[in-house]
Amino acid sequence: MLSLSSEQRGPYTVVKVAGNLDLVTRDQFDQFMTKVRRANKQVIVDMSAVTFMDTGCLAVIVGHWKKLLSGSGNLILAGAQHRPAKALWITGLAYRLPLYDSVDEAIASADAVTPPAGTQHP
Amino acid sequence: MDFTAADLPRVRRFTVTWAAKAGMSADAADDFVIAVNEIATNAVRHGSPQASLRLWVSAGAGIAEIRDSGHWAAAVAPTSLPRRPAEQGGMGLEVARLVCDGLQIKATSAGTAVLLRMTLR
Repeated sequence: MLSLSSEQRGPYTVVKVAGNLDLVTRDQFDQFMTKVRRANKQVIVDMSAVTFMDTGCLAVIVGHWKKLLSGSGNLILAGAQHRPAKALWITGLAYRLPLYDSVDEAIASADAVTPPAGTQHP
Repeated sequence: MDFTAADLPRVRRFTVTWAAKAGMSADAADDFVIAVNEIATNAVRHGSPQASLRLWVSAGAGIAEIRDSGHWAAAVAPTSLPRRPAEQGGMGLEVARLVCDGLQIKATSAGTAVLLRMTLR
């Protein structure tokens, strides 16, 4: 059981993930993320309501993160809990992916590092 | 229990309930469930649509046996496969090996069986 929704927060699309990320829900998650990624390059994934995550769905996240990075976008994880999302730490990917305690913190830090459009230096 | 891909949430619930009854610590049980789920996922994804899980206690450890009737490359030759980037997946076996106290693969013509061992407290 997986519930997915998205909302706009300034320049960011925040994807709210609630439930299990496993083989059963992987395609649903991947398709949703693909749609979001094609609409906006700045994506925050709110993981605070994830109840379980396997390495297959973690691979999906990494795939979208890399595609966004290569298009000068970004994917930020927010609110990942250690117990249900332990795969992040076991694989060491928690130390490579941008990770924040909450969506608000992710937005605050991302604001600080991403200059507003038009002011970016080459 | 026999399971298909759709039953994976049930596989996790079954394992966590069993681990608590067997006297596994909560931390170890979390890791055990992660490992069982990863191997069970490989079994139904790369082995056969239906697979089975058996759990028992042996010599102070919880043992899980996940058995399918297919052949998955990572199980047949776990060390000969090149490392792939994370987004291509294939991390399950490695994760199970990392979190468990023992992992044994028996790949035969009848299928693949993976044994996971987690020491009880």
